[in-house]
Amino acid sequence: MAADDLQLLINLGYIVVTAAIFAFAGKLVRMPTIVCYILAGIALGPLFHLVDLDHSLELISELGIALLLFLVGLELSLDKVKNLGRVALILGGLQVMVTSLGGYLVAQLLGFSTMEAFFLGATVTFSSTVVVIKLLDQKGVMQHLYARISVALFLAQDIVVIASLTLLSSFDGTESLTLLGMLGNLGKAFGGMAILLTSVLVAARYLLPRPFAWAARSPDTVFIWALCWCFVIVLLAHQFHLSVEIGAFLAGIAIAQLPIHEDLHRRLHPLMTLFIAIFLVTLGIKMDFNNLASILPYAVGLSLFVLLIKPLIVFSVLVWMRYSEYTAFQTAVATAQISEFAFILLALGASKDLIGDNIVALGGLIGLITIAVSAYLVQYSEPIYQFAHKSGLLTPFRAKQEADKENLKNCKGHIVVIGMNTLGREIVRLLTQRNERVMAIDTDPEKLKGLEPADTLIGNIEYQSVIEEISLRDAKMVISALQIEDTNQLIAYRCRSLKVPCSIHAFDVLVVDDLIDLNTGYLLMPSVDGIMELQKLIKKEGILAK
Amino acid sequence: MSGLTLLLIAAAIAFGLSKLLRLPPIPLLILSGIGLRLFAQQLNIEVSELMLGEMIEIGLTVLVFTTGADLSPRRMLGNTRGIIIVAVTQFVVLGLAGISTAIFLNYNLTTALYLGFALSASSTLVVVRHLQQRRQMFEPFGRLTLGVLLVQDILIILLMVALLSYPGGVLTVVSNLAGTISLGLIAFLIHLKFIPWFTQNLKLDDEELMLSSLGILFVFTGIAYLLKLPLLVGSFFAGFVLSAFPMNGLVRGMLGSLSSFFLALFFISIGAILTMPDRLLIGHSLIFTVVLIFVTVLLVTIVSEKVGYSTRTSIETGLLLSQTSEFSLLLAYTGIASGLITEDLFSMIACITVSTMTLTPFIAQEKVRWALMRLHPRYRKGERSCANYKDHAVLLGYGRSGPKKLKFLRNHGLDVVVIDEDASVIRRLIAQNVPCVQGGISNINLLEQANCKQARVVICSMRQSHDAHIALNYLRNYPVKVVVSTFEHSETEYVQKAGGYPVQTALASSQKFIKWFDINVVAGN
Repeated sequence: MAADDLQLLINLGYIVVTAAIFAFAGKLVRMPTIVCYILAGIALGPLFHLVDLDHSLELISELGIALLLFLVGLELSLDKVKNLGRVALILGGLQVMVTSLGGYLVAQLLGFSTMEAFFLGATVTFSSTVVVIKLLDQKGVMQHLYARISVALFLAQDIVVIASLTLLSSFDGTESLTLLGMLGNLGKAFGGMAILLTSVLVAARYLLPRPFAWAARSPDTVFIWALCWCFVIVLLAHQFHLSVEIGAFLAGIAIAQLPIHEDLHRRLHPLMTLFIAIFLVTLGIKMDFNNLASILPYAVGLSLFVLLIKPLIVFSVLVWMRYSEYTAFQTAVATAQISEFAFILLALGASKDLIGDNIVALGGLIGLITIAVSAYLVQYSEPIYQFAHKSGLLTPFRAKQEADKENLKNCKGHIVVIGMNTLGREIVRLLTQRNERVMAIDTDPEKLKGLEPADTLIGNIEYQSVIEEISLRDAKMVISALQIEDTNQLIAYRCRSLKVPCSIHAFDVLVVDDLIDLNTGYLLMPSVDGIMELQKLIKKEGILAK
Repeated sequence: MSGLTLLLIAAAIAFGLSKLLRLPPIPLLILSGIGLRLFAQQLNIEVSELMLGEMIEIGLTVLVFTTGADLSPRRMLGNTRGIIIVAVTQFVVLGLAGISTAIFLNYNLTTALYLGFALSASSTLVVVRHLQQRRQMFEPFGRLTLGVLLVQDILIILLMVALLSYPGGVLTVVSNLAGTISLGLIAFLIHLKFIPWFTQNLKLDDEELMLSSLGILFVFTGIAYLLKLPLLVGSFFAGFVLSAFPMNGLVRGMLGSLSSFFLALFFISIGAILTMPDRLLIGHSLIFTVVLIFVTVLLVTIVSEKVGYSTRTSIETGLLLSQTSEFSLLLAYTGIASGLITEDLFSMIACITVSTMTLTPFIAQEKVRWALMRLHPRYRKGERSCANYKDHAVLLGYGRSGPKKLKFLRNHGLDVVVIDEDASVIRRLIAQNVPCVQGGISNINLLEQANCKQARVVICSMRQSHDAHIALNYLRNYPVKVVVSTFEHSETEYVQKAGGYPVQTALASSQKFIKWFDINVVAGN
């Protein structure tokens, strides 16, 4: 095949290999992977010109963004959505107003024109949903309150961004701005949002549960159906001039109300990780460093505003809303960067001749600086908070010191039983009779029914996320009743690494040696035990005695 | 985004139908792709050719990669020789049968070679999914089948290289094959030495594992590109590199998601670019399908039995392998891309693949296996008359635990008669001078032949509870004790009600475990 036919594959090859090299190099100096990916993109694009962005790469990036927001939606039950609505409205409204005004004033002070200051004010206002969720997800804190508040804030910002983009799109440089057209577009966006939200909630209640319950025993079917649902809603959102993010998020909320949402989340996560990595590399590829020297001082000034003042505004609002100092601080830290939407907004402004290309380049540089620094801030937010708290920096805000209520799962000293066949169920029954805390796992929701008082989890033990969710390292013991050789070996391997005793189903003599080599504590051998039981029965019934 | 959504809608329909009709998803995905194209034509919706091409390109690379990652050579341990004999014989004979049929149907040599080799290997994706669904991956026939598939995948990769290099002359073929083998050897060395060290010493999180796995994929694909080999060679060897334990387990979950996604998009896209074959080609497809199924079942059964597998295992393996491979499609696709075969031929190969893959779940049914077992020649020569046996024990089904039961009963002075349907088991028992009767347990004549009514005990260890029911009913009014191995509670209850003695294997095993648990875990804490 000619190189032209393989362009996408070649581009993906460059992106993945370079991202891997940068990620491994970054690991040595504890650099967050987001920064590594953007640097890899800069190497591939502005530095060596190895990859040119085309439609296919843009599509993959969009896929990543859609999946990321879909996964965020997947974690939100309706109760959580209701709770977050108030925060989104108050925090989002205040933060957007104060930050944009502040950004506008700083830009004016730096000598930019009114129109340029207006665009720069908008640029510094919005935070990157994708970058922050990726960072929080990597940190494993998506279940925490501050992560949920951050998501609510960013989605509120997204709505404002969409309104801004809609307004800007309505403005045609050659004709005058018609108020009616503008209002029509805005009405379409907000009306669409309302229609979509209602449709999604109705679907979650009446349309989706039955088909998904029917397909629940076929993981591949559920997986493809969920993806299909996500992209159909994204397309619908597009029809209403809404963003991919909002469409995917709403689609995720609908699926979150189904019992299989957790397993789906785990299955979709690897796909999202890959596509988001590609998205972040393409961000680096897009960077423009032609006027670096002239724009650098302005970039530093506005970046300082994003890194210090914006979090301060968010912190103050949250303290005022009576959230604890810890939650307010962690949320504030998460907002210290600008959004990829800002690039679109600036590009649109430039295309309408409202601002020059130098402002677009400036926005890109602010993005690079703030995303890189905020990646470190989020990664090390715990020690930073401890420092700020102990040094008295936060005292003047008089924030609430008691922790907010968090509904986090905490497992320790439990017994994990994997595979709910007859053997697995029998073991769960006997262990619960002994008052052991048991966590039963199977990929088939039907098999997990009727195991109370044991905890149950629908999922595949081969996923790292399942290992973390069941707190395998803190388990008293792990038992696998599965008849899957590879999975059993992996369980034994993981248990050996975490120093957790395990018992594995040795269903065939061929698997025994490997399991012993992996330090399996006890081998379940029903075929052998069955023969011994048979011998006992024959003796007991006097069959041999005649 | 709308093009991709259309593909996903088509895939969602195919998976729904696959679940509803209990058919493998691959043929339905291809058919759904054809439907998508027709639908788009009717409504004047444009499905981008560029996008379909790219989906096929990426899907192909990812699918071959994940297939390679799933085929660990460890699966062959214990019977490597037997597996290689079965795999190579099937590959060669089926290939020759395909080539002969194609020549008989007046195709030219290049086309005949493509057709023959497209027929020669079986589908790893279909078979692995079928075995997983039925939880038979690690049954003897599951192990044999997976071993055969690994060998066949390697052979078809080599063939693909040879066929694509064939227009360049013999030297090009030899040099490309040498390149492929060298790449394979490098992959083997990395698989053997580097990957275990890498996994042991670098504690990687999910994201790093994903990146390193895909990095390996693109490095190998890049090398294949530089060596002017098909990219799939690089993808397969990259997958093979990762098939080393425990790396294969650590990345399986992640690659599983990628594989499911690209599998759907790849086969939908293949369907969407297919042209419908004409009547003549459909007729030819039918002929090839019949040849494939007939030769595979017969050949694999004979050869597997010759290398020491039981009749049941041999027949099950033959039935399960009777479809063409996804590699057949890849072979045909690369053939089109290189201009060596026409689009019509590609459509015909796709037609054979769709029909054989669709037929697999029907062919691999229990009742087909039973029917073929009955057709198998019997070893009547050594069967004994059991009419004179009294107070003896009868084993209904020999299975893996048969030897231990036989030894135990004989050690306690009981005569034992075995009834089993498997011809090769009967042959071995005759050689050991054990009284036995060949046939299915559901046949009451056989119970009479083994003189069960006058036996002291009848031990039933067949997997099918139906057979135990027949024996229990037949012996209901006689003093003979019927002991039945049970797996589910419902079976246990039934056996008790019917006057039998259940042996609950799962309960026995879990109780034994609990004793160990009390001593070693509870007391230890």
